Formats: sequence, C-alpha cells, structure tokens
Amino acid sequence: MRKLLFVGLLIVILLPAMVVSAQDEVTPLSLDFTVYSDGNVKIVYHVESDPTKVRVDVDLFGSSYSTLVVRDEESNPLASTTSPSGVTVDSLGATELTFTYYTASLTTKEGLLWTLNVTTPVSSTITLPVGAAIFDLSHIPVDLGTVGGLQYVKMPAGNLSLYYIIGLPNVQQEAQTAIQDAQTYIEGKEAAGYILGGARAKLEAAQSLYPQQSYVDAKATAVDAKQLAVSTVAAADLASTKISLAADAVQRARSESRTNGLIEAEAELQSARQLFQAGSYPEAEMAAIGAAQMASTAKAPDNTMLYAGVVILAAAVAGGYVYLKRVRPTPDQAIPQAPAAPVTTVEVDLARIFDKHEDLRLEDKEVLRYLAGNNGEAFASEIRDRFDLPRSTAWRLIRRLIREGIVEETKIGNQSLIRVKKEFYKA
Amino acid sequence: MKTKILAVTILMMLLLAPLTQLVYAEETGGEAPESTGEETGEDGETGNIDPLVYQQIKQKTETRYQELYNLIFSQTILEGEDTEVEGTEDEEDPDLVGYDGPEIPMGTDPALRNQFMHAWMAMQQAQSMEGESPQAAAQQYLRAMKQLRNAWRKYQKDNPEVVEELEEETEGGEEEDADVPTEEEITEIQQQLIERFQERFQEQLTSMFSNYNEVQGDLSPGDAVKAQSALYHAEQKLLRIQERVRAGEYDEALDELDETTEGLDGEFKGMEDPASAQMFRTMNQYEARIAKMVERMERKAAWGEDTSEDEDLVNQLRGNVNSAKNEHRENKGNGQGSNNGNGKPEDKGKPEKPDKDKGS
Repeated sequence: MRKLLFVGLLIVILLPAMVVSAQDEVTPLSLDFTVYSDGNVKIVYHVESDPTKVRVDVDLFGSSYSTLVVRDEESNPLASTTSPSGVTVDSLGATELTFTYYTASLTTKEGLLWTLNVTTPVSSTITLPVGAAIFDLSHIPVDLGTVGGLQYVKMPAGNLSLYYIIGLPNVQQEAQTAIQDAQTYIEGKEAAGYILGGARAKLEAAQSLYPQQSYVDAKATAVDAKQLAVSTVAAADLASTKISLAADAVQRARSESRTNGLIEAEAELQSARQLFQAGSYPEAEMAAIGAAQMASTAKAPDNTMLYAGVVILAAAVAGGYVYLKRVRPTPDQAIPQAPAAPVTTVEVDLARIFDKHEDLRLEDKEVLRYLAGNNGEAFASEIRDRFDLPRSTAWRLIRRLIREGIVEETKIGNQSLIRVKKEFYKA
Repeated sequence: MKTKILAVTILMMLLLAPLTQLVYAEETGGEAPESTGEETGEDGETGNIDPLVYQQIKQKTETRYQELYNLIFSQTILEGEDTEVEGTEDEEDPDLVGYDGPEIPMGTDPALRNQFMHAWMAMQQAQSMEGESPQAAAQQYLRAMKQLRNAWRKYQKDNPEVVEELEEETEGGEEEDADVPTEEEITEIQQQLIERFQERFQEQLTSMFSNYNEVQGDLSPGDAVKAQSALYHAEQKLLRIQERVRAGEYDEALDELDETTEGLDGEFKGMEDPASAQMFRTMNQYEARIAKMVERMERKAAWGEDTSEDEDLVNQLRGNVNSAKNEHRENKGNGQGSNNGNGKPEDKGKPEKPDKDKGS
C-alpha cells in the first residue's frame, strides 16, 4: 500500500515537471488572438525555439487547430503533427517558430454575450470583431486601443476572460456619426451662404458633450442641430422665394404706374432683404409676404380733380360759345352775314371808293383797307384796337366814313359793327 | 495509519492544487486579481496604472453604461412612465442607500435595477478615487463593468426578442488566409531544411570537438569520456544520416537527426558534474546558433547584402561560448566545479577533433 501511495505521489510530483519540460523547448515571445464575429479565433503564436532541436513539442490554445501553419524565422513552412494538447513541429534547428491557426474552442456565447477564455504563458493581444463592445475583463489590461477600426486589448499572462457583445447600439459611434453628419451639413450650407447660427450653436454643444463621454446626449444634440439646420435652410429657401415674388410684384406695380402704396411696399421688401441677410428667415418671409401684398394692392394716382377741371373748362367753353351765339346779331337782326362770313367771302372795291372820295384822309383809307381785309366789316372796338386809336378819335373817324356814305353801323349788343356798304363790294 | 492519512492528504492536495486556480477564476468571474505590476497595465515603478489604459477603461465602462441604459430604459422613459427611483422597496440593497444616479423607471426588475445602481455607484467611487489611486479606480470600473455584464445577462434573458433584433450576421476569418502551404510544398522545403540542418550539425559538432579539446582538462575523467563519447556517437550517426539524405531517405534521416540531437543532449545531461553538463549543453546551443548565423551570413553575402550585423552577433555568440568555458574553469578553480576525484591530471591521450572549418 505504501509503495502504491509513494508511486502515486511521485507521478503527481513529476507530471507537472514533465509538462514543463515539454514547454522548455520553446519560449513564448508573443501571442495574438483575432476574434471574428462568429466566435472563431485566429491565433498567431510566436515562440523562440531551441536551435539544437529537430523536433519540438508546443502547447497550443484551444482544443482544435484549424488551418494550422507553422513557419520558422525564415518563413519556411514546417511539418507538424497535432496532438490533444498541442503540436509537434519538425523545427529542424529553427530559432523562432510562428504558429497560425484558427479555433472556435476559445469562445462561448450566451445570447449576445460572447466570452473568450484562455490561459496564456505570455501577455497577449486580443483583437475584437467589428462592432464588438467590451463588457468585462478579468484583469486590468496592459493596453487598450483601436487599430484600423478594430478594438484590441493587451492582457497580461495567465487565465484571462474577456466578455463582449456584438450588435449593441454603439452610442459613441452613433454620436460621432451624428456629429459628423450635422457638421458636414451645416458647414456645407454655411458655405452656400445660409446663416445657421442656432444650428451651429447646437452642433458646438454636441461637440462639447462628446469629449465628456455623454454620447447619448451628444448624439441627440447633434441630431437636433441637423434638424434645426434643415428647417432653417427650408425657411431660408421659402423666404428667398417670397422675396423674389415680392420683388416681382413691386416691379410690376411700378411698370403699371400703380404708385399709390408702392413706396411702402418697397420699404417692406427692403426690410425683408435685410432680415434675410441677418438670417432671420421666418421674419424675412413675413416681410416679403407683406411687401408682395402691398405691391399688389398699390393703385394709380387719383385724377378726379383733373377730370373735374377738364369738364368745367369744357362746360365754360361751351357756355361761352352759347353766349356768344346769343349776343351776335341773327340774320333777322341785320347781321345775317356775320355767321356766314367765313362762308361768303366779301371783296371790297377800294379803288372805286378812293376814286370816288379823293379827299379821304390817310387814316380813313387805312381803316377801309382793314375792313376790306376783314371781310368788309369789324367791330368799332376792333378798329380802335387795331390802330390804337382813342375812343373819341375812332368814333369821329367812323362818323366821317358814315357821313361820306362808305360804311354803315350796326348795333350788336353793346357793340357797333362797322361794315362797308354793299355798293362798294366787287361783283 | 498516520502515515497513510498523511500520504493521502498530500496526494489529494497535490491533485487538487492545479484545479484551485481554475476554481478561483470561475468564482471570481472577472474580478481582477491582485496587482502584478507591469503585467496589468501598471507602471512598474509606482504601481500606478498607465493613465492611457485607465482612461480607456473609464471611457469603455461609462460608454457601456450609457449604451445599456439607453437601450433598456430610454424607450420606457419616452413612453412617459414614472421614472422615479425606487429607493424604499423590499428588495432595496443597503449598499444602494444614497443612490443619486440616473432615474431607473418604476417596474424595472429589482435585480436589473440593483445591477444598474451598483454599476453607477462603482463608477462614482472610481471617479472619487482616481486622483489618489488610479489602480483602485480602475478596479472599480471593472467592477461596474461586471455589474453591467450581469445586467445585460438578465435583460437578454428576460427579453429574448432583443437578442433576435440585435443579432448581426457573423463572419469568420479562415477564408482570409490563402497563405496555407500545400503538403508538397512543406515536404519539399522540409527536405531542404534537413539537408541544411545536417550540414549545420556537422559544423556544430566540429566546433564542439574544438570546445571539448579546450575544456577537457577541466573535466573529470568520467565526464571527459562521456563528452567525447557523446560527440563521437553523434558524429557517427550523422555520417549515416548523410548517407540517408544522399539516398533521398528524408523521413528516416529526420527521425535519426532527432534521435541524434536528443541523444547528444541526453548524454551531456548525463555527465557527472552538473556544471560540466550545463556547460556542454550551453555551448551546444550557442554553436547551433552560430552555425545558423554563419549559414545566414553566407546566404546574405551571396545576395550581396551587408552581413556586418550578423558578424557582430556571431562574435558575440562566440564570446558567450568562451564565457561559458571560462566560467566553468573559474568555478572549478574555486572548488565549485567538477572534480575527477582521483587527483590525477586530465587524460591527455584523448584524440583531438581536427578543426577543419576553423576559419569559417
């Protein structure tokens, strides 16, 4: 019995030593795990090997080794034979060996939660799949980071467990994307001339939340910023359209000379433009709508007084005409030729008058010439005016011609119409 | 009887010893072990965690909290449910007294609620201690992360539809690697490597004979014989291996090379004086490396590449060989080395291996 116990004890004591001796053939240098989203793990294990050895036994990680490739320090592929605990490599004096293989035996999955469990003889780097979110670590890692968009964790040697989830909404990534999206949109629109002060302020708020790791708030604020920018741009476009329409309405009113209210419309349009320039797009839109309405309701100036004046003048002319017609002698008032005068032209025979009345004064002759040229007749007042004669002089002159029997006088109203006698008319 | 009990106890302890670590790992389920300095992201001198690593842990934990909170509670809050903190329920954890973190909606499963609250409080604790002890703060963040992991487990168990909804298409990586050599390629290269190895082994043995000649005076007669015998046996076997290689019997050559190198090492190990044994094994390793380096230098020189660095390395390795010999000699002089036990001078009649490649 004692012997049996002793042998058992010896085996237990020597077993680890035997395992260790196998491991002594190589010295681990580096170990990398690349985890894929299906739980498969690519392992790259780099060890230093004893150059005196033709064959070395190396413990690998996991219980299955798919697509195992072993290379020496010159990248020569080496023959190998797998065993449950590892692999025997025909190293042929290699100083370094690199094992590359895949195994699905290191990971387990519970719902969406993946677990990587492995015991490593050297610190190892674990690269996680795209979209993996680390949910727990068994140790404080040596290093953590991201390379090429993939997270990596460098863990110390020993038993390590790493938990991760793929597919969890990544608020950090989403926040980053939302901020980038809003920034791109806002900067693009600002470059196009839009004034997006409110949206810009929200974007800056989102950008300041991000480094504080308030990703949910940062994302929400960035989304708000973009929404505000979009609505502001829509408001700006609408205001711009309304301003154009108002400008057209003002122009149309001007061309149609509808100037009543046009000045106010132009002022409102100017106000709309200034508001637009300041980025107050809704206010600019309202002002433009007002300007357009003012322009469309503008009217031509009021000419009622002018028309009334014209009518009064016409009435006065007509009244005068009627009056004149009333005061002039009618045919039965011995001045029948006056209205017909323009129709029946009279030609006075002055030569016969002068021959017959050789003693006529020079001024008498001149008056007779005037009468001859005036269809043989003229009012006494016209004669006075024509020759600039005093009333008495003119009266004596006319009396002399009447006495000589050359002219005759006819009263028309208060006036005296002087007419050459018909006997002196040419036939 | 006592002896039996003692033996059984020791046996049980020894049998269970390797399992204790596994059990511990399983129980802790992610709890970080005691600080181990550089190997856990710490600054080796001060015991402090690397600030960048700390920031990463902090950032990831807080992000996980936000993601999970957002996923689990945001919809509930948006739906307008009462979001007051449950603080006086039966399930109230005394550790959570004074919780003033984000609102947990009413009706939340108590376990889930407690895990969120514990996570929040761990993060708060971490923040409060990060100035004094970032290492402890990092541990608190890991504790918070563990709570969040458990919260997620609980949530996905109660909401399996969420798992289906969030499940993404997976992809493996095996297809990416097209650089897998064929069996033919491996066999072809293996034959080249066998040829090169046996050539190097030849060089190695030559150098080892030379080394032997230099140190044989420092060996006990028994060890001198053993060392010489080991080298001769290896040389004899190598001659047969070379025959096999010439005959194209590579598999057999490989097996015999393995047997020969292992045999040589075994015979060195079997020397009487452990120091002498160690010296021969060390020299053997150095000579193997030197042979490898010389081979590489020759190849590089043939390609017209600069070999000065390799030459330096070879010289350094040769220096190491000499150091091993000198150290052995000095130790022997100090009475720490081998002793042939008979007080006679070393056997001068041992043949000296002709150093045919001394100049290489």
